[in-house]
Amino acid sequence: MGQNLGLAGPVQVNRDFCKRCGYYFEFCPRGVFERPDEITLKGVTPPRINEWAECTMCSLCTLLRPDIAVSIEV
Amino acid sequence: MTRAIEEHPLTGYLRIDRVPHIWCEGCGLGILLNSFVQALKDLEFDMDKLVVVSGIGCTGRASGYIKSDAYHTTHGRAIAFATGVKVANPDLKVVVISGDGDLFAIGGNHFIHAARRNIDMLVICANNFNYGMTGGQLGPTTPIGSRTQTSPYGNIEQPFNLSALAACSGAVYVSRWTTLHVRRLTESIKKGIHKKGFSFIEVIAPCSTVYGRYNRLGDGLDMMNDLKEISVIKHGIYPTEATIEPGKEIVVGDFVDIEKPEYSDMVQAFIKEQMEG
Amino acid sequence: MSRKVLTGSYFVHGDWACAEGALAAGCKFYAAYPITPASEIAERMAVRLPQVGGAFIQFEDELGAMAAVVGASYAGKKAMTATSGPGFSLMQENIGLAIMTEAPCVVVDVMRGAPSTGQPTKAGQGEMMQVRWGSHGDYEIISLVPSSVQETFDLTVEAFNRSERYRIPTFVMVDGILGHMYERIEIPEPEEIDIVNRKKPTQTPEEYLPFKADEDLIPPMANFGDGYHFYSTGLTHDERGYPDMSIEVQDKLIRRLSDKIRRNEEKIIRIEEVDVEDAEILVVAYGIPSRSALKAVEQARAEGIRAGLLRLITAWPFPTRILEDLSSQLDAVIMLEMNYGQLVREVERAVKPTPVTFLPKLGEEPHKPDEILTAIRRCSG
Repeated sequence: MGQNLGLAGPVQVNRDFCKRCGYYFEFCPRGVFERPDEITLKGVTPPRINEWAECTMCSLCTLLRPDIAVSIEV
Repeated sequence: MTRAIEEHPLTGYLRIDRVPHIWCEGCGLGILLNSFVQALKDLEFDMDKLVVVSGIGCTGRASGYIKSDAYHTTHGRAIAFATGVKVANPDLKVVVISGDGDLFAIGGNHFIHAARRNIDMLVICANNFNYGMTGGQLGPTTPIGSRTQTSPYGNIEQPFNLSALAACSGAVYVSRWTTLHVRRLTESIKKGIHKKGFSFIEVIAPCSTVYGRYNRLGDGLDMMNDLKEISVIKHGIYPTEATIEPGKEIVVGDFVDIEKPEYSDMVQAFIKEQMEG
Repeated sequence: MSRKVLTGSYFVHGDWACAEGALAAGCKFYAAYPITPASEIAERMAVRLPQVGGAFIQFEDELGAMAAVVGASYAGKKAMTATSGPGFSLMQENIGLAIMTEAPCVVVDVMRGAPSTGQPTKAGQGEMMQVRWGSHGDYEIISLVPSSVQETFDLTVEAFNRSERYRIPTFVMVDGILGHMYERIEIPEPEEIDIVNRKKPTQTPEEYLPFKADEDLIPPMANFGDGYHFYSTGLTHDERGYPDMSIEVQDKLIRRLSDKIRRNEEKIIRIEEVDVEDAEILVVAYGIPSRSALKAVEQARAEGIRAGLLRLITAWPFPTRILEDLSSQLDAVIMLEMNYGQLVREVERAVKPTPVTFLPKLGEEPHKPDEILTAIRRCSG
């Protein structure tokens, strides 16, 4: 049921859990995420991975994710 | 590459079959839950020894997402129930996660008395300045002037400073963070779990759906950005000095860390004495 | 003095006997707030519990005391609290929690004059309907009504056994006279006292569904710390313990919570019958007034009146069927209560159309045998 929007990176996003907090792209210190144009059937805009290379796997996004929608493989 | 959610790194600590949780978009309570579960994971805490108890309200649902023994009590009685658990089985670590209304309005008496006894228990209070679950009414921490459903002309009641109340009632560990300080919060939760005695962590959490809306504070992101602007870290100050004025200044940090004899230990000590004597 | 069961003969009051009954049943946790006339139970427990490895805690109020009892029960201990009217009112909230989450526990109510603060140092029987209906919603409970100090000991043991057997809060309703009255009691050897312990799960933690009942409608109970990692809530919940607000789940849960008692009524109900077999006039009583009633029935029999006594030992479930069956042989029923009419309504409902004379007593004094005898004579005449 989890759907990974990144193709090869460590960060996993579960679109089913996402409620569009927007915290990832605002507070990610490396700008890994971007706001997608896409709106899901639930009316939310799950984060899209912008730039893998910038990710240092600090895992701040997994702590700041209120919807338990992002996990990171360390 | 699609990964099954069962492989989620926190699966062992969360009831993933209950996610998505009930909290609104941008609600700070999910962050608090992450932080708590991350602390358990970092500590490799023995989940057989953990009991999570909560009361009623939005935060009251937290216990239902944690994969340990957990109990959702009546409104205000989480600490009283948890006291029963701890005294009956002192080997268990009891954590209460609940909201400001549950712990400090209807449950205020149990809070001050548990702190006074110094019973070993970690109480994490999500403070969002109002009653969220019932639609945004005045609570014991609602700031002066704030609008809620039951203070439509602005609140005229003085709010509690929860960390100060905890310290003055006898808590041995007191800290306050916002949901933005998620790493520091996680560290404080780890300390609170390890601390022997009554420990209290206040977590300022955005409630954009009701409190934010009535007070025109924007969405969750705006409220989180506001917390970033106004929070000031001051470790070690006595919490009566730790300002908590949303919109102006919120002082966060580790405020109190002292040692005192713990209640359930003392109960066990005189049980031992009486049984042998 | 560190024995769990104080086998032997003692001249003691009802509160003392209640505390010792609890210990004999295996009580290991007591939380309460001081209140007349139940404080002596707390005082006895404060001395005795540590001697037998149990914990006593004096709470900040009865709301908290009852919540702590539910917590201790979930932590695996046999737990009790005792109070009187005003405290009993405060406990109703978490009595409901114990019912909903099926926490075995014992609540003792030493009844005084009421309502409100009423007569703290006097006796009454004013909570006989509150014990049945005091918390909100549909449920069943078990309540026991002793009439002697010995029976206060015996029924406190029995209350623990029933609460453990049915996973339900069980009540011992002691009138204030009995709580403070001294009588000789005999405490048996520990091995002569039957003890029932809650049913434990046989499943693995992975298979365990905390609210999936067996055929007897009672789910096995894991304790906190046993490694079952289960969740329990006062919200309507499914077999996993998860909140579920659907019609189906509410219907199934509420029916089961009541039916686990209703289907076992015959096993649960206890009464004492004296000269009932050929009785035409039946006196129904419980607690202290039943002792005056016994005297009056004996005197009536000596006068040739066919009188009998039915003494309630369980007030709830109420012995409706037993009274229904008797009603055809009866000309009249006399009901005694130290209140202004509570269980008498149940009696009237059961014995219809037999006329019921109600003798209320308010303000401490129980009924005198003469008053009851006069009522019996009037009914027979």
